Amino acid sequence: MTAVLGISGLSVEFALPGAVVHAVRGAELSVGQGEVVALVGESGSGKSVTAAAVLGLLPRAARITGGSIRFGGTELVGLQDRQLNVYRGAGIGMIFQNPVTSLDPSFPIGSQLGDTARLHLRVSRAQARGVARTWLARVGIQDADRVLRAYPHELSGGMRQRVMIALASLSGPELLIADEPTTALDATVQRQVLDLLLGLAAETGTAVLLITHDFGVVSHTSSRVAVMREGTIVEEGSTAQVLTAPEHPYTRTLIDSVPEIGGRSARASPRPAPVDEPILELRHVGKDFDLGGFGTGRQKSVVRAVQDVSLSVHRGEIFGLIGESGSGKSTLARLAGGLIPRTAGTVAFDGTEIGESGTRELRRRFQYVFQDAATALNPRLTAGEQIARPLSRLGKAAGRKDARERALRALELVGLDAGHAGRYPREFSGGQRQRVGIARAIALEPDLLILDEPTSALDVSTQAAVLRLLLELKAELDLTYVVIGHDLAIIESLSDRIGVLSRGSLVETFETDELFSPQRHPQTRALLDAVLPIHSGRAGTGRDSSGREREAS
Amino acid sequence: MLQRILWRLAGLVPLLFVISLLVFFIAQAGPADPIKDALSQKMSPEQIEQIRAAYGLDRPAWAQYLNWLKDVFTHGGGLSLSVRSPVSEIVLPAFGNTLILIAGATAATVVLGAGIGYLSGIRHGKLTDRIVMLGVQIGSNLPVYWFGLVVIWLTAVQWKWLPPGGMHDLRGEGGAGDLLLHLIAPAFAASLVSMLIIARFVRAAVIESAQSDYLRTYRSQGFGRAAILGKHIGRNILSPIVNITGLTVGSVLTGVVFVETIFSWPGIGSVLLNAIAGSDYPVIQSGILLVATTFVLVNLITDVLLDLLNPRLRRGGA
Amino acid sequence: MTTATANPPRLRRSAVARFVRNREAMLGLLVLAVVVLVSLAAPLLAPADPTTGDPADVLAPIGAPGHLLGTDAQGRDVLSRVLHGGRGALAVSVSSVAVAVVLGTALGLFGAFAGRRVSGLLMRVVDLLFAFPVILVALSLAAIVQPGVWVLIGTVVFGAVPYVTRVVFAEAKIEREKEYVEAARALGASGTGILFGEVLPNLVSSVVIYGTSLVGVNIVFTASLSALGLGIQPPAADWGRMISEGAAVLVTGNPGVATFPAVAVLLVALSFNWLGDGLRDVLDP
Repeated sequence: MTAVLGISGLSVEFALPGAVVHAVRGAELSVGQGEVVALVGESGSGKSVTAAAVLGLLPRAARITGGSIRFGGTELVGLQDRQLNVYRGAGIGMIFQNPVTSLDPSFPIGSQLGDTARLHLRVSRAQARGVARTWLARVGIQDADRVLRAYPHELSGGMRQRVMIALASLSGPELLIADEPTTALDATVQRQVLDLLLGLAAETGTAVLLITHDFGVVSHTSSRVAVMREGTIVEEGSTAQVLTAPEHPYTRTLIDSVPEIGGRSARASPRPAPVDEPILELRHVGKDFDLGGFGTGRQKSVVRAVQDVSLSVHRGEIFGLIGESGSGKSTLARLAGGLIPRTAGTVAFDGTEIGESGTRELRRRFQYVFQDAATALNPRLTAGEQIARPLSRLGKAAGRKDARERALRALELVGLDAGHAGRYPREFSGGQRQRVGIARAIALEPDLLILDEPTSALDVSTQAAVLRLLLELKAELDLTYVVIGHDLAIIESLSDRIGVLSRGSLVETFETDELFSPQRHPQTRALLDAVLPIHSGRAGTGRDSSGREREAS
Repeated sequence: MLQRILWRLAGLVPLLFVISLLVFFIAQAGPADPIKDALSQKMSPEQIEQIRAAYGLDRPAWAQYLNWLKDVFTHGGGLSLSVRSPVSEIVLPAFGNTLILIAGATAATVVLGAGIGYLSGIRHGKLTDRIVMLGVQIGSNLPVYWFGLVVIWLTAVQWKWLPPGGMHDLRGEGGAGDLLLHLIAPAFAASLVSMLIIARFVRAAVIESAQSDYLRTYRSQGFGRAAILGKHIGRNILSPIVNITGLTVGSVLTGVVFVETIFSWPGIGSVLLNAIAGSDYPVIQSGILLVATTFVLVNLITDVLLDLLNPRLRRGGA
Repeated sequence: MTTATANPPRLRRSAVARFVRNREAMLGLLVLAVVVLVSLAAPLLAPADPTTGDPADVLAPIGAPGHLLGTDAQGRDVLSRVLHGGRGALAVSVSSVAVAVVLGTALGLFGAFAGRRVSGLLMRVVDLLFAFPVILVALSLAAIVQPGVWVLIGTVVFGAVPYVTRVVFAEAKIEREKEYVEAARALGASGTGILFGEVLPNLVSSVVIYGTSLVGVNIVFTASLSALGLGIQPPAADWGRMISEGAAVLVTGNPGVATFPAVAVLLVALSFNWLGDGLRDVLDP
């Protein structure tokens, strides 16, 4: 197979104030004609930098210090912008991660597509409009005429990414580079967009270099995969082989870190059966948000974020709450603890009904761990202070000294040590920060912990360690968890029972073992179908696992 | 859209009411008795009382306010205490002259400010950018008054390119060209502060736009540098430019007042300064009311323009 | 227990080092220290009385015996006047900006944490005041209380409060949405506890930075106001006043009378700018 793209010995440096970072060190990679290659790695591995280097789109601080990038027969390294423009778009198209910011907010979609068409296809303004319309239809957009006139902010995330695909494809490039094209999208949309991308590529014989951190995406899309770590490719081979029999220990760790759907039975530790005694009971809980109105210049409108949710969580269990973005799951979590006032319904904690805002005793026994520890910790307070303050405030510690000792104990419980107490949040890594967040919650010796997407800001290997820690702590401290998430595999691997939220309503709750039961609600089945398993064979029962349909939707 | 504009217009009413109250308050709170100050000590207390009654100064405050407001609307705010002519005859022509200077200074602000900022922004980090930014830093810390003096000294005394002051050549018959010639130096001097504010903003906007994800998209498609810099950055920094221009009108006006005396420009600034020196409250009040109202209107126009430029509002916003 | 991954390097201890390494910031600090000392010690340092002139020795050139920087149109020693001339401006700018910073911070925090209507109305008013021509305020104040120091103070406070309020409001709104505020609520902190214990510490650095630059801006601004005759009154020596008094002789071969005070203003204002920029590097890395 002739290579469309050949990268060899590529090195990229970032000159930061006071330090030089070697983001890519001697990367080797090739993409054959019509081939789909996945480049996979954790954040900071240099995969996106590699992709940006191909088209000369590196940030200002970065420069290529060595190696070669060959497109067809041409060496791209060392070309000036003007010379690179010959290949940009026409030869190599690029799709970026964030469709919200990657489209120009000031021009309608039709104008952005039309400009590209006129540049590459040398057509008239009117013809360009026709090309744009045709391509919108090809990427599965029904009302092309409305979308042509629409501005980016008027489209949904999935629609915008379809537009991006059209934008990158319409000039007929030989190679498409897609940098995390679905990371910002919901699971159900992710699959549609990936299938669309693969379908178009197959139709036109375009090769695809897909950058991702998700082995499910790798498995679903690629025929060959390269694993990147700290700027070098550590393993490369056919997707089937790398996923089933990884050679490099790092690849193996990464793959083993990802919870697989249907893998729950394989989990080692059996759990004590939960006591049949509700610790948290929600009855017909609802929340409306007012938008617009006086002073905002917009007409007033009401958004029902949560409506009529009733559920109970039993002492000692892990209750998983899953839903797509905007389903109201985080709002529901905040309503349960009285962090925001509810507009309807009642909440009872351990038999006592709680008012609109919680009491001190409730606060201590009912704790939260938030999604992004980078913002959930106050940047101006040391880790020790963050943990100790609420201890004194809520009367858990007898004095300053006691609070400090308890804080240190909590840090040790989460795998950090006393030396970390004096550090500020930005002096920790992402995983360590989340551990501090967990320590802050468990130091109060709560009964119930709400974990709002506790690992979604973390890399897979860190995520696995944090999940393990959470399970250990639960056993050790006799806790009850409510875990909120969008990743069905994680929720399934953790939870005893699962509730599915959709558009503010709880569509159903069920025992986790019954996830694959045929009686599941269509919304649950949609979430299940959207999962991209790493090992198709190991997927659960009762679902279609062919997973590689290649028709455009 | 129309509804938005109407709402904004409606919002003006309470605003203008508050402004008029504050302006009315100036005379009430002034330490000096305007009549006693303005008319010499030759009069007896009875005569002064008569004059006070004639001006309505013996009535309750709210009645005086209404009376004053009526005066403002009918003949510009009464009689000047020092010159004994109607206030409107003093204030209006002066304000007209100031408006000419404001227009010139605003033009200089936008054109030079945006130009400097754009140049600096597209050369971000290069030598040009550093030199320009050093100039901007020094310029924005210069006292405007002194800067005006230097401008006169250079343009009129050293190089003899421009007239040293005034609005018209006294010997010639005037005309638009003559006015323009007299306008250049004071407009430039008055725009110093606001011009550099705009330059900084435009530079920041250009840099932000140049580093944005959507610009990377255009670059990834092979658009040339010229097309990207002109059309796309240009369109995306247009709103910030209009916005900041609206915000700097206040500082343009401040600059204009600072340079009017230096350039002997017969504008509202000089009138107000003289009126303050002579405690001529009718002139002070009408002058300030006029300028404040104009400012509020300019603000309104900026807001409407911004609404029109914002694709999020152009459709279905109201 | 699982052990956490390797620690990233510590950043904190280098804060002072970063400031010292920042050449502009150090220069700014140095100049300001000198200016403050000179202003305080002006009566001791000045070779002549800044307010009484020698009618026989008017407009002496630069370097004239006994008058290093020459004399003005009334025969007063320019050097002595420059040494004295910063006292009023510095005191007025620093104190009024301090008042404005406190008021603006309070208003901005209030706006960010008040209900939507109150906050919307407040910020609408602040936006309007932000763009308001401050010269009108100076003129109105001069009409009410007569030209003088109080006109300067009132004008600076009026001009700076909306500015600080906007900065604080914008930043407090961002902070308010961060999860640590919600976390604090979940950890039992009260509304005021969150405001002062959690959010305010995160705003202090920007307030200090903006406040520092504002002092510089207002030194320049008050100089122009005094030059117009609205501020510090003769015969007191003041940089702004000196500029306008030197205006008449600037074009007639004695540029020093107006230019030395202008350069003094420029230098002090630049120093505040540099100091602000340096503080930004140190406090917001």
